[in-house]
Amino acid sequence: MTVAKQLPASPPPSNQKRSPLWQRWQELRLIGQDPVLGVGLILVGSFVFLFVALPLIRVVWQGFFTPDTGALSLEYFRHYVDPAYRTHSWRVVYNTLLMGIGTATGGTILGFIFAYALVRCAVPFARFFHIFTLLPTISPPFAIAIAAILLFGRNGLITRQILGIRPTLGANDIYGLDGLIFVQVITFFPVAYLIIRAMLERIDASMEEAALSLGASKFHIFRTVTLPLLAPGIAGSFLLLFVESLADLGNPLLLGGNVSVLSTEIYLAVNGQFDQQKGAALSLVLLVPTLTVFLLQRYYVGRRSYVSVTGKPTTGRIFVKEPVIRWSFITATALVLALILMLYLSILFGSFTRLWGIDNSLDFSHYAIAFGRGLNAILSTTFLSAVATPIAGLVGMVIAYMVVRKTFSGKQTLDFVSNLGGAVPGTILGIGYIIAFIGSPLIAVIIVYAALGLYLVAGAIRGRWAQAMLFLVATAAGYGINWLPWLLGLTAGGWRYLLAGLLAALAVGAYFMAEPSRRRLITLGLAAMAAALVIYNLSPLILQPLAVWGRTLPGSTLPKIVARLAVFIAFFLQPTMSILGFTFLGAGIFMTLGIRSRYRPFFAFVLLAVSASLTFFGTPLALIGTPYIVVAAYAVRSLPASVRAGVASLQQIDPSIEEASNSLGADAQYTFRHVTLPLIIPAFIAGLIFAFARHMTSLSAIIFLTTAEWPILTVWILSEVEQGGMSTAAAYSVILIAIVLAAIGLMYAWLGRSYGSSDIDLSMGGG
Amino acid sequence: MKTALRIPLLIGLALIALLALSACVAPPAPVAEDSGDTGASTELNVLCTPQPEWCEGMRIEFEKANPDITVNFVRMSSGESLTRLRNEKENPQFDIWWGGPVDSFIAAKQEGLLEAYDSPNLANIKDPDLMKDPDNYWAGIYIGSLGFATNQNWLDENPGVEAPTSWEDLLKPEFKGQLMVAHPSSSGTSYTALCTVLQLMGEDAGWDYLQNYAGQVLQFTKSGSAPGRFVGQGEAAVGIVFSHDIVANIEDGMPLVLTFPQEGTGYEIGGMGIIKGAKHLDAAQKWFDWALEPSTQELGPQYKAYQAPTVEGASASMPELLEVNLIDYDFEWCGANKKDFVDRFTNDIATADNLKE
Repeated sequence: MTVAKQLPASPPPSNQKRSPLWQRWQELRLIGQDPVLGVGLILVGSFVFLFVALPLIRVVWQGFFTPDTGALSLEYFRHYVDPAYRTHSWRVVYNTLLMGIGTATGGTILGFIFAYALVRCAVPFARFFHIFTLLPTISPPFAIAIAAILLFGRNGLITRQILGIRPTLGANDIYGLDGLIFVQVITFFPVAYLIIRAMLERIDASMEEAALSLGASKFHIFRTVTLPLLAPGIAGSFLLLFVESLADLGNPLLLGGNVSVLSTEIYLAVNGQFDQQKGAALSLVLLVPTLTVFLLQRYYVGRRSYVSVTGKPTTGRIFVKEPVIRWSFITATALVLALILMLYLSILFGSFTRLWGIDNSLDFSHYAIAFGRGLNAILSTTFLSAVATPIAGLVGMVIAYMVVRKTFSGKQTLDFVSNLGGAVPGTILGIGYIIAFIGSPLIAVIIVYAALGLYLVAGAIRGRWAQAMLFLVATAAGYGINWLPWLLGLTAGGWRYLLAGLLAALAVGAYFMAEPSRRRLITLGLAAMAAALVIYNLSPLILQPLAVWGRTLPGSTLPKIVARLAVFIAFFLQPTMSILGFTFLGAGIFMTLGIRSRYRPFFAFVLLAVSASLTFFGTPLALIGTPYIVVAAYAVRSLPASVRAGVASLQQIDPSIEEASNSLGADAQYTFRHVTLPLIIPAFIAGLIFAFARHMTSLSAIIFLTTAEWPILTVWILSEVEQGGMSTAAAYSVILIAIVLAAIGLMYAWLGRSYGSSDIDLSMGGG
Repeated sequence: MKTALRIPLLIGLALIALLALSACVAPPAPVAEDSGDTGASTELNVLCTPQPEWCEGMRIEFEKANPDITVNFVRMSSGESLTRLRNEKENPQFDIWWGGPVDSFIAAKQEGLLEAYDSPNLANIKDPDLMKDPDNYWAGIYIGSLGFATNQNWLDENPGVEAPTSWEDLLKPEFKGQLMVAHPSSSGTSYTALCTVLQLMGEDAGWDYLQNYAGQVLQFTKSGSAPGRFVGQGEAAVGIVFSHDIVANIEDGMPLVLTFPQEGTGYEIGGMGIIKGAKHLDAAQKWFDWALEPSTQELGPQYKAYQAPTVEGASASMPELLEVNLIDYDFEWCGANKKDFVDRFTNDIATADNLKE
């Protein structure tokens, strides 16, 4: 009250002197005038806030406080100065940095060799080379490490059977830092290849031709023209590989030998010593180099692009004519590629042998095991990855659209945070998810709810005070509804029937309250909402008989598939209440605009009350143990790729094309559907393929979120690897690669048919 | 232009009001869960610590005995399991934890993660003082002793080298960089070995020994039974593993020799316990009763699990595994000191200057 009284007393701000805050608010309001953009921005912002910013903040926070007492404690940071722990603590940091630098250097050099060979050296079968180079980007985290053990381990095919090396005392073998770097280089170099290749293709040939005609020698040109032009790409890929290497968990777990790195230390601290605080503190240490490099890459390297991106390779391409240089590049590339192929073939071969290295007879039992006890994991992982793919794509596209076409402050932050989710080590994100979502992140839920709710009332009524009052009263009403079950002794099901009844009544009312043109749509929408709640209650009546019936089917595979099917249907029919509440709010914003303005306050009131009741029911957004958190984690991990794919494709579209369509009489929607969409869809889909592959293969964040009901394939591979079941792990890996390849094949086929363009590159996501 | 200042103020006010609403007044009392309506649970989520094959086998057998219950399981090592249970304390996702050394169950009981259950079948247990919790928070389901697995081919190639038959043997120069064992922080097997050594030799001599022994190790694996497979595949020469796991590996066709340390070896009792706040308590209790039936405990060998049973009336598939020199393993002491010991091991020993950098 005192605040309100002071308001008139303060001098009225003049029109000329706007505070920066006011300007920012106006920018946001401008976007808010278009409800599609406004809702999109709020939902995307909420997603990024809930699933990237919040867990990271919670991790950092927990590093400083003991979980039991909540007291400030720097115990684990003191380890870096305490003599008892100092040696070990710093050695881990040293190893981590050494691994990162080694992998980044090796991977960048290899990536450069590949890019130079493929772009400049006229490699025969270049397409084939290109595709096989990308193989490591779609394979599961352990595949190459497993293959390296199968081939180069102490009892490996090459080391022992072919070269006849017997492990001796202190002999250098695949275990340890050097083996680890070798495997990481093979795993991550395709990313460097893609970045440098893109750069190399875009170098204007005329520069080098000019140097040549001025009489410079080839090497001199390479040193003074080509290399400086490539510098941003090389630096960028070096930094990216450094981050990827630090974030890697699978390879160090398997091959680290006695070398500890931060990612494995975090994993052991959390999963072995049950010490969340230690894990969080170590995560913070790991975040320092990651963030430094990430910022360097964004704000230093990112701005030093000497090449104008035209979107297309320049026409005049230069080829290396000296046979010595050309063939040495080609040979090096072919040799490395042969090694990669050999690694993958050994996985394939290993999955079909009885006992690798002991009994190499042909055997299908590993696949029998994989499709037996692993079937649930295979189906669940594919399902969740597929569900997360359009989410990542949509969120990425909206962010890309905002970044490319709109101006508002906070845009940079949105872009930065969305990228952060993919750049921080997954272990950190996983711990953050546990901390943030094991209970209810109430404050975060309130913030998201308030953003959506205030936007809803802004469209329903005029005047700030009226809006605030409407919002508060409706929220209080929704909160009151949540007391009803307790007062009336209702079950959760009864409470849902009550809300469904309210929505159904509103649907009937909306038929009379809405503008005639929107009448049908709004009524149907509200009816659908009511139906969703009723279906939620009724779905067990269908799903349980389905599961029971499935059990009676013959064999062991069919019952499992039917049981999974029931779980998958429940995924859609029985969502977490808060997610439903947010969805209803988002839809309600559009509906309110179609209601005659006289009835809008009432309409908004009922909708907001129902949504508030849903949002705050029970423990809102306590997502741990549900599959939704896995989907969120997947989407967050692949979000940077989706954003990049979106940005790249949007930038290639000249706004004049859209303007031409508009001036010929098409409205904005028609233009988007018939001009913009067909132009961006191929790139969008390519981004989706990459996202799907990334989902299927991600491990480090997911390992903290998997449950008995939703087993995840990569976690099963880890379990098999750790149990020593290499061949079974190899079989899982082959299955996983096959699923990803099948998805890519399907996408290509579909794209080729609908858009006649098959020349889509996975590099969209890789860069 | 008063509105200019009002907007942020209003948002702030609204947030404060909301916060006050939901923070001061506790959220409404939770209503009855839907699943409670129909009575008996149709689902059971098992946290399973033994090898996946046995977990899967038990799942099938239990579903056979209880056709109206669907069993889901996740296999996790005992360390991972305890972390998960701790994290999920407010909102547990599992109903029963089956398998893994009882020291983790003792820890779980102390932290209030388990639910006591006075099963009628607890009467079947052979040695109630040792094999079950006095307050019925957990019950033993199997026993197994620690042994050494040595690769036969490696022995053939190195004439004059014998498979180790004592803890001291492991320090011999020929085993340098040839030893494989799990990391005690994530593996109950390895922690049993660590605690066995400390009990056998006393704390001071024990830590000295562990220091030397860590210098012999090629790789600390995450799971306790992995060294057996790695040694079988020739990646290392000797592994410290539970003897029943070694038998299973030999059964698979791996060229392994099983030996026991003559000074005495440690053993584990595998436990199980119902999770506090289990969402399918009735099904979890059914599993608990069922797991203590003699017929259930005799199922192990079908799924390559050769642990000895804990109940009367079930015969051991490999009784010779327990007819060795077993030490008087103090589960309470090992359980109480686990954090200190693992901490000391991680910081002082596991990363000591080793053969490989």
